[in-house]
Amino acid sequence: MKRFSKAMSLLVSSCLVVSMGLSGCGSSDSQQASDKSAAATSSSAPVKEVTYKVGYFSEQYTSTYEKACEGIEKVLPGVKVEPMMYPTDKDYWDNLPAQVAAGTAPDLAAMTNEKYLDFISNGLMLPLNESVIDLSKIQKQAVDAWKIDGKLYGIPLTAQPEAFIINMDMWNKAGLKELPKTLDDVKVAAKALTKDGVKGICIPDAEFHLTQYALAFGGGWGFGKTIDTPQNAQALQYLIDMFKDGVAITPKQAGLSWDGEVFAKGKCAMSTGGTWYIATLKEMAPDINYKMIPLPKGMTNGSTLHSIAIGVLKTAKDAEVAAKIAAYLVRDEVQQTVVKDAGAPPSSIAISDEYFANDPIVKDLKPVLAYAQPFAYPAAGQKFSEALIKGFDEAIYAKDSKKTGADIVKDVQALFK
Amino acid sequence: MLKSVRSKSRSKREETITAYLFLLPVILLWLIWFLIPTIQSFVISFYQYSFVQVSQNHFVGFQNFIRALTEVDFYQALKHTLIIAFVAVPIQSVIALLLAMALNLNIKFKGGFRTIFYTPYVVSSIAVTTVFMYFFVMGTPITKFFSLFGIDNTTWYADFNLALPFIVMIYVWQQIGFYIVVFLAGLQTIPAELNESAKVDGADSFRRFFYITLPMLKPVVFLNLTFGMIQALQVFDQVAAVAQNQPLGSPAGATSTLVSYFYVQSFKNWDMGYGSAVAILLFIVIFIITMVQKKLLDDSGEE
Repeated sequence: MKRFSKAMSLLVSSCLVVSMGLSGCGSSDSQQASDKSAAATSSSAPVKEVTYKVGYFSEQYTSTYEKACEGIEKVLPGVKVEPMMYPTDKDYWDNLPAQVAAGTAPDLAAMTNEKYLDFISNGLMLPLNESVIDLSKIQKQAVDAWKIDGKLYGIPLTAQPEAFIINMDMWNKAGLKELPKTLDDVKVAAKALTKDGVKGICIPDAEFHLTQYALAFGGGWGFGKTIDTPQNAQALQYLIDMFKDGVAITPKQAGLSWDGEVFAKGKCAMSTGGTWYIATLKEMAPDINYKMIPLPKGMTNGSTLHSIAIGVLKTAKDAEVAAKIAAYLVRDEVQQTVVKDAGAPPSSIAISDEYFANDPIVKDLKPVLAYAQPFAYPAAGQKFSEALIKGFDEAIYAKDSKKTGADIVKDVQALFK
Repeated sequence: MLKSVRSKSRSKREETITAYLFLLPVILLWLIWFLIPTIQSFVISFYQYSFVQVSQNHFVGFQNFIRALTEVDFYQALKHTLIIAFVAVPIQSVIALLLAMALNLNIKFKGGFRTIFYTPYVVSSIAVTTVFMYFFVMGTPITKFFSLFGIDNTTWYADFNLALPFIVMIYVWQQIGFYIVVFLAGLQTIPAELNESAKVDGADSFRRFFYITLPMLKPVVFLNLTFGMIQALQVFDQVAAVAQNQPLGSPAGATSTLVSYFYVQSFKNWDMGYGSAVAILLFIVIFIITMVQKKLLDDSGEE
């Protein structure tokens, strides 16, 4: 009997543990429900404080978002905003969709116009009421990038043109004079710069970088409609040839995680990238002598416009309030912090002008804003990037591969008929 | 007499109840974390199912299975999975058995060696793979060494032909410790008298191994081969680490396995229905291989 009562007490304890666990889950749900009801009444009687969360990735932007969240209660009484950092962009993009589906995602999220179409087409991001902000003060290209089918899905915080980065010490040492004006010049320079274990150019097998060249050759993805074009095929072939010639390297081949690291460690002399290189180079290679210029011309000038914007997720407690918060989070004061702490070009026209005028490293990039275009990946962006990279990798990583640029665009297009 | 029987039966009942009570937490966890998800996954495999657009989910019958069986990428992942399993498991079993036999001898620092061999098994696969990746970058002493044997001095995990062997190598290196311990436990159950009397009868070490050790180890061999196969058919961590920021299975799908393919479809492309169908097909593959293994080992025992 004694044993039996011991066993019974064990069962009771187990049940208690389980019920505590369940009540734990339940309390979070009820908390959310009470938050929602509080949000619903916030406009009439903002007595109870409601906390909205804004998700972002990259330590580089921590001070920006901390600053951005300050003082919201003065503009929206009863509202508090907290930043929610994801350690890496991979964590962010991998977890956010499942969290939105599970209702545990933040209310707002800092999105980029590279990854947003999957979210928008699946209804994970909500369109915003444009009246919450004066869009005329923001770079038009950035606003356009965030408008899909005439609806605004994010309020831009940054408007970054793409850059072509050159290690000037290596450039001079190789006896090269004038900076490259065309992609043919780049090819010639890459050959001259390839020596002593250094490759002339770093070409990451990532859709961002491939897109720059596609645009420079007059191509582009056209949201999946114009993948299989001679221009795109030519751009990819141009890159494949540089690998075949032994003058290009990917970060993976260099044993490093991304192109900025390859450049900072002196394993390549040129690379496509952006203003995010500045912080990395400052930290990893403070003495490096480099120059940022627009990507040299192929058939035309080509560059993407990369823009971080604050969007409202389906999980937002109150979409109207969240849109107002989004507008607050990109105010001028925050854009100044973006420049100062993250080194990124802001979306505000006035502050952007100052940014390009005051910083000698980026001054040559300002004209790029005029012709920079959205990425225009298909709505199923993940599927597109996987197929594009797989095809490209097959061409460059398999020694005896006969895969051409034309084969790649044809295969990828077949998935987006 | 009757009282004694009653008391025994009551005691038996209490024992049974106690046993079930102790099993209850495990059964509950098994239900929550295994059985229910498995059934759900099976059901979902017959649906066009996306967790981000629940309202559009609908029944599609066997369409997901037909799609998998007609996709080149599925067969590529299946091929890599089978290569890993059929190359890694025999290699790791043979090496583990040889090392276990060595450790079963009276040698110095036996305990130290056991710890050394077992350590990789308890270290995170991602960490182990990351360390290996540092060693196998183009121009490092190891890649230079292998270039003496005609292998390109290149970054192994960025090479279409070397990436899969690289994964197999890491996998075997990490798993061996576990199988050594299991073989060692099996070897220690073999009565020493058997070997000694065979020795007296003039059997050399080769014969003793094939006629005494190996037959006596048969249950352990079966356990190691079956468990090893099930594990190897589900390789994922090493593939994820090698991919870095690239799509899983990179470079160019050279390292894609059924589990990584399932993951990409389910969680990257948000196509849970198709991903679940792939998971069910993987289950069928594992089931068939295990049954064939069992049959082969049973037959060899009957002979």
